Amino acid sequence: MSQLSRRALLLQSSAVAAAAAIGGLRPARAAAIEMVDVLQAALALEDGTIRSYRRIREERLLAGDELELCLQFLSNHERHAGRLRFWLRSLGSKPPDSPGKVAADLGAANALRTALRLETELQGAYLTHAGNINRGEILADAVSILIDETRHHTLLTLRAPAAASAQNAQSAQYHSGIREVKSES
Amino acid sequence: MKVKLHISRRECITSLVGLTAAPRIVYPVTPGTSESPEGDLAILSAAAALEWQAIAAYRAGAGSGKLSPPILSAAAGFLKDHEGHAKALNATLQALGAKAVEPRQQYDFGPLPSQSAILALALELEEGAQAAYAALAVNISNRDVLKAAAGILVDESRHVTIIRSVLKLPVFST
Repeated sequence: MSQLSRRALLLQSSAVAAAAAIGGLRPARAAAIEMVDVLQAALALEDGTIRSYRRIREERLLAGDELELCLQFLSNHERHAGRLRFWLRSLGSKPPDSPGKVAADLGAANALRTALRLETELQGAYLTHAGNINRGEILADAVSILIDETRHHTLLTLRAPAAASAQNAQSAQYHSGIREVKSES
Repeated sequence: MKVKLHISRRECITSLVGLTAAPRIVYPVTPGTSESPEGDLAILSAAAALEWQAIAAYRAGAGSGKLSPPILSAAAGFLKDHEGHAKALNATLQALGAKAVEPRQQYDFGPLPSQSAILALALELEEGAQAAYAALAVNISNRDVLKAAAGILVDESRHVTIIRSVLKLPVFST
């Protein structure tokens, strides 16, 4: 495909692209990543997000509508993790035993901001690596999950616009930093 | 509206074309295994036509004088997204040796007497687009185009979520 069309296809925001890198699936390695790797990494992100939302629930780090929202998201992520585990087993791969880690920065004062960061990472990971999923049924599930992550991200952005703006600024800075490192290498 | 992702490649193309003629119809889809560049072009052309339809709808809504300032601002943002999608899809079509898709001379969205009516139309179009791009992403054979389609899908899903939130409709029943 020509360079012109490649530029035309760059529709994702810098925040999403940077989030994919933050999520551990760095775009520069995308070509070398197998489908099982993508599913394993996605499951790790989902499991970490699940544990973080459970901490929010157990310690009541949020209240009212915001807590209800996070409980809805938790339910979605538990379903996502179930599907990923199903597909990994169907591919003959063993899902990781580790239940994932609670976000290190999670606390009462920044629960929404942390949730937004987690959702951004998940959205970015699925968006960036959908092209590495080469089985139709699995891709259909990944696309459905991407829609959910986008819903989560959007609802949190509506709730916490300041946090979303700060995150975009940080992501843009990170993305710029990646470019600077590449230009020096 | 539940997003269903199981469609044959032929149904995907047909449904995308159908959505531009009758936006109230959303087709069920099954995963495809296509390897046809010609099929990709048909899907992309149909998606571009869908974008022109959305652009026309948002221009009609924005020009109606019936939207409150914050809704008008959001609509302007969505219009800009769709214009970007149409441009990107047409650039891809041309890069693949196909003709760009032009907008129709006229679109008929029926009467739009109020902000609620405009939002209802917008929601219908966006949910149709969400379903179409979800099916497109699963059926397209070119992996680069798949990633671009996924990026557009994120925009459509974001639009759907915002409109449903504004209308105080549940987001997770879809």
